[in-house]
Amino acid sequence: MTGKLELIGVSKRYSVGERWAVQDITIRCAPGEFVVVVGPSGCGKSTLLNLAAGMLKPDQGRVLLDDRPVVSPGPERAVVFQEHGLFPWMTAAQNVEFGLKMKGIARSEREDRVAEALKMVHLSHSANKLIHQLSGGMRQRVAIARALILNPAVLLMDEPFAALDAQTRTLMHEQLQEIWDATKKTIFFVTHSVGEAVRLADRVIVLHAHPGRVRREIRIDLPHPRQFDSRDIAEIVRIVRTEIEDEVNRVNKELADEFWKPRKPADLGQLAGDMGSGI
Amino acid sequence: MIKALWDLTEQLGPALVVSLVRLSIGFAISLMLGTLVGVLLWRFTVLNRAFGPVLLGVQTLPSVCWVPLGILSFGLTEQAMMFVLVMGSTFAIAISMRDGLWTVPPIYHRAGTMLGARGLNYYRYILLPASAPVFASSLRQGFSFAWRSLMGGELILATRNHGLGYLLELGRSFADVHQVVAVMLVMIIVGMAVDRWLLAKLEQRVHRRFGLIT
Repeated sequence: MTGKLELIGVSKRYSVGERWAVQDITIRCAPGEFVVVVGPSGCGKSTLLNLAAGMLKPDQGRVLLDDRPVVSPGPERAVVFQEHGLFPWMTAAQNVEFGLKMKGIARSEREDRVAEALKMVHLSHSANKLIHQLSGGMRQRVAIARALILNPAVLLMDEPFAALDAQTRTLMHEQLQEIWDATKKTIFFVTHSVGEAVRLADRVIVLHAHPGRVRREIRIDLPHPRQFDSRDIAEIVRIVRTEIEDEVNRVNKELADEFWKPRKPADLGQLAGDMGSGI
Repeated sequence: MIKALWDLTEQLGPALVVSLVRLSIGFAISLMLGTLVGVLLWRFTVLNRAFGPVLLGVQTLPSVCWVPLGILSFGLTEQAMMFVLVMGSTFAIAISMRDGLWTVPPIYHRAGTMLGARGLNYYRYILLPASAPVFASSLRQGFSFAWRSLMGGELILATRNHGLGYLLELGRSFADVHQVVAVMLVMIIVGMAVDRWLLAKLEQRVHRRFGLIT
């Protein structure tokens, strides 16, 4: 079984002298495991995903996929981006087909596999639509199909549902669980939403910001697929949320000491009362 | 006026053909050159640092200023005419191409490499189509420069085949105001027609495909 993704003691900073975006992080994803990294914005979670994707190189540490070092982006580590990254000059089907075309697979086989991938994300009816004719949720489903068709060892997802409305997001969670169940892929998923993390993950990793480090790891042994409103989920969400709130408060305090003092709520109330008067 | 146009039709027809043939050939050449230069400047920062500002300077040079150099290099020939046209429009195309490539969202590059598009495949399947909206706009800009340069060139350069610019100059020689204005009108109409009915349509199609307009 393939799909063992390991980040071992990785550190990354964007320029020398700056703080570490991520520092000495070790995350090991077992084949078929669903790992979600969650943390406040600016904690380095996207950096982590880009390291796994090979779009960034670590300054220290190693990134391994099935014991081989990751050196560049490639189809065995397919990425689903937050801003979908689909090509607007192609139809949905052509977008899904593109990776296979680059692999040099024959047209007839490509057609079959595209049909199959679109069926998996329930988009067979929209195969010939252009990207701007699809809704946000449909676009992300095309992006998922485009990634899955490559039969990657791991699926890397960078806040894929962050830009969707709540109803669509819930639907996408259900479909992603379905797909994960059917394909048994290793999924490395990054998000700022605690609810999303707890609902989907086998293991949630809470990051610590400035510098980015692992703050806590929580294994979630609830069976899949999960009910979003179950009591167990709510309890774990509460635990993770406390961790994150601590983290956000700590970061804000740090920033505040430097150049910003938060106003008291009363002040804000008065400010709101003044809004627009005197225009 | 209308009478002047009518009297001119005999000469206007062939002259228009000569000018349009020149335009097609010259514009094709400067499109290829301009695109190439634009892509090189975009791809190699060093080149852009060295030549980018110069290019902008050269672009501000009115295209008729290339005429003397053209005559000295090629004599009173078609080549000299092409030289003026190509020099007058290539840099405009190169600059807008380069600027356009800078605005291609980096996500296409990330997505493309992730899907295994490398080397030539990347240029062919990702960069070329991704820059289509920009390319369409640079086409429009390049055309207006090309047409202007050609008319300027024809006005000054007297070659065996007579284009519209030559008719304009002829009007001046005979102090025939009607002919001068009539030829100018034809020039404007050609410019407008190509832009509106060809290039703007093309641009619109590309933008519609990309979902930039509905």
